[in-house]
Amino acid sequence: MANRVRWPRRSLIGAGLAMPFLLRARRADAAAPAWIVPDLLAPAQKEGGLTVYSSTNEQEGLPLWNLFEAATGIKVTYVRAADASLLGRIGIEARTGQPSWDLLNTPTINQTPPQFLAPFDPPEAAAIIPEARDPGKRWFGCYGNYNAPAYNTKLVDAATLPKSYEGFLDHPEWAGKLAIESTDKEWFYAILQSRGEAAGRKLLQDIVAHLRPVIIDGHLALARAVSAGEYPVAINDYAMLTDNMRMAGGPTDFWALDPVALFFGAVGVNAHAPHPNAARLGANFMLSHEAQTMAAKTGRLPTRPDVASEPADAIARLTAVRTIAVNLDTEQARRWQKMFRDIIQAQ
Amino acid sequence: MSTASLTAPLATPSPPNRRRQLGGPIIAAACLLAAAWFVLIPLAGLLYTAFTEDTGSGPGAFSLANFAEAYTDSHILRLLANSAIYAAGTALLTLVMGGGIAWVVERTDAPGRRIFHGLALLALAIPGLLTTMAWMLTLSPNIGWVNGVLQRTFGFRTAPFDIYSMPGMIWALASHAFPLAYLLLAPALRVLDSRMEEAGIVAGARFRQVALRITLPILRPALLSTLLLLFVGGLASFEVPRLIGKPAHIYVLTTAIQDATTQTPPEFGTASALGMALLGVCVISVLLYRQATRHAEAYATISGKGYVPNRLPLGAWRWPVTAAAGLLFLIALGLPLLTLAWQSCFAGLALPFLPATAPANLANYRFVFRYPIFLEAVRTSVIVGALAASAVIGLSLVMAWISQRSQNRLRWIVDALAFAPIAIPSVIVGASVLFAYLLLPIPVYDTIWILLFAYIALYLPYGMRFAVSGLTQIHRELEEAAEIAGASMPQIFRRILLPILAPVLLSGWLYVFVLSIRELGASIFLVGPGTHVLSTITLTMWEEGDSYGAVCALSIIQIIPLVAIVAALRWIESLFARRLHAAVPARLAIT
Repeated sequence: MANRVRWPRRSLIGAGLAMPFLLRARRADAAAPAWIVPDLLAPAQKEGGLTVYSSTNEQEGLPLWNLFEAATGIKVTYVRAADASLLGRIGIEARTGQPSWDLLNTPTINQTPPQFLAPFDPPEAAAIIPEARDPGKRWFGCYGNYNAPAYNTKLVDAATLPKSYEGFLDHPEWAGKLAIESTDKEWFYAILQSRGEAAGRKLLQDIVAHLRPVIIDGHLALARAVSAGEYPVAINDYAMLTDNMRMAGGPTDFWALDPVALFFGAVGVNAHAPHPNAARLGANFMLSHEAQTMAAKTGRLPTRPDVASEPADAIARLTAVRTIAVNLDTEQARRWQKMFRDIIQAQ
Repeated sequence: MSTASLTAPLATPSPPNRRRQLGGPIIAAACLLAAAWFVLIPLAGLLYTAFTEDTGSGPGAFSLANFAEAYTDSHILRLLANSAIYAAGTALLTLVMGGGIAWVVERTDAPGRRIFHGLALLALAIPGLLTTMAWMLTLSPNIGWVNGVLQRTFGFRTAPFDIYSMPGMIWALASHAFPLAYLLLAPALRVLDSRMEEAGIVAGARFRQVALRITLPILRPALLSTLLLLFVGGLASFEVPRLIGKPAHIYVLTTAIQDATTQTPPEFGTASALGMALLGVCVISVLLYRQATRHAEAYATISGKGYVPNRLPLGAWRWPVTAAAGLLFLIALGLPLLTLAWQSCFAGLALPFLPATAPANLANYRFVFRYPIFLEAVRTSVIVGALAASAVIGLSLVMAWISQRSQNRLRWIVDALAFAPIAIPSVIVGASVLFAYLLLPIPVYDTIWILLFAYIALYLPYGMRFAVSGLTQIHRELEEAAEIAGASMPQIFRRILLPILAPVLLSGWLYVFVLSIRELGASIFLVGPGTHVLSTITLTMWEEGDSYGAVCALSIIQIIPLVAIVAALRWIESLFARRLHAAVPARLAIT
């Protein structure tokens, strides 16, 4: 499913609607963080713990959850693994009837079978952009993955960058040097949505035929490689990774082309969570101003309009063109990934 | 030795002796059952997921759809052909490199050979992912520093080396795998009876004739065993095809397996169906190996007649041979190590001998040491690695003995059983082990034991090859003589086989230990709170870290304790060797 994002207007309205509730919560208990739901806190504390499965590294994830522990007194057990491993693991746990996780935090949460996730309604969700909210209320986005091309600023003159994806075909000098990330089904799907399936497929097939892109596994590996000069241009990657490279001094930058594909790193609660109240409280925390501000400092692009991204203009640059929010379920993800891979590997 | 003393225990076997004789088969059966347990769980997992519908949340009803998905792809023939070329090329190059070093260390008087032993083990310590990355930074035509230096120095217009090619892939894996060939061949060369070669020379044969007609045929089991392991290991390798093969548009079987397992949710069914091809190759390879070495006793050099493992005096060739071996290490180990060490001192890309954009510092090392779960991961890795290595070597020894000494026609099954896990993708092993122990009333989930069970299954093939290679060098007449003298099976193991096999078993132990420290595919499913291992942190830094530097620093840090362990094992090994040399004339020179 795809939703077009009009970030500034909708998000500001959302934030505006949410603000009275958040302010009231703050006034109710000046000492407690706004995201603490009193009705959840006591039962959550009784449950005595919270197990988080996340694809975010420990260096970033643990300090965040330390805040939660300090505010609630609930001990957090943090298990980090890659997205695919997490989904495989929770699938096996579910089949054996021994789910050990409470909260899942990963960008591929929408590909989790719906029965694994409990519908819930965290108060802080009112403050995030509407596209980051699952219509079924099973997951809520806490950061955005925006997909945009990236280039090495030493090797490519910014003035020569294509103004559209079709414009890549005007750069035969990039043949064999253009890189493409091989798992970006969301990006592929957004291209098809923006141009129609047949035209979108043909565009990618033409790019593959004329430019023979180098296939890379892994968004960070691609961002590093472009920054290092291994490849002058990448046709797709997560903009926040390119920006992180740039902030660290790497000669790289992204530029937004129509459409920017967007999907979310999101939180969801296990339908059979051993600690259901703690899980709900934890999810509310992840959507809070406090947590998203902290995550933004490590380069995550927040889903709350009232949290500034770092760098401050990142989201504005990305949403200057059409942004398409992509939400693929398991079957859709498999279908589009297979089609995408078949096209880019047919060289 | 008198005839009376040999036959007396047989004539009147006493009840205690009978009990002792029973002990051996019981221990052997227990080991066999344990090994079968460890191996059959992932094997069952492979078969189950291959032949059932992949629902996205686990296997469903019986189905052949995974095979249709895996083998009707138009690229499958290209995958198989590339896999065969890649694996065969890697096996041959690795054999030449590792065999050459083993020959220099064990059979010649070349100076510095002990250093080569240590360096070979050091090469093992670097995780495959990072060695591959180091070769990309070294030999990439765009940013490889060796290419850059050569282009500047000699004025080449284009980069002389391209790592993104089939030869590049073969080199990248061979440079990392040749210590395995060394470890497998060195013990066989060490116990090679030089009197056979000397007899050939006395009979007028030239050096080349001696090598081709005496030395190599005697080493046939060890060579074939090594080739088998290297070939199948090449087929099953992941890192090089992923990082180098894909950008070069060279796809192999494991590329497709990895594509399937990194889907969200992972397509275990397709991966397992593809894994069945690897399994088939493994079983066929084991059968071919057994056919080629069916007269095992013909290759035994350690018999009741004693043996003399003399070194070949190289004369004027001593230093040139040392220089050649040193150059091999300089290139295969030195270049990637220098690249990693250099990069570990910088945040952004920084390559040796090329200008850096920022001054060097130790921030990456500080980052690693302060990483929240680093010390905990070191402890878990070392404990599980040591336990896995010990269990694998113990089980392998018993299984190898059954496979080599039993008269049963079905003994090849033991060999095939122990070898099968090499064909199962490690992620499938992890998923199967997780599935099994969640279902069974054995509370090991989220403990180090579940990691241990997976590692035993994963590395039994390697332990088995070490043990088989060593056992084929020992003539069974030694055990027969001991049996006639009244020794029980445990005594034969303890007092004859273990002392003679100590070097090869120690090498095997070390290899499995290092592999366990590096293991990733299964671990990502099995680590839990408090049981993180070094490899999963390495992956996290690779997947989520902003710079190359931190992950390079982590790899350098991992090498240091491994060097200490290698040195300690080398010391133990030399103790065994001294004892054995002191004992051989008295115990084995029966004639």
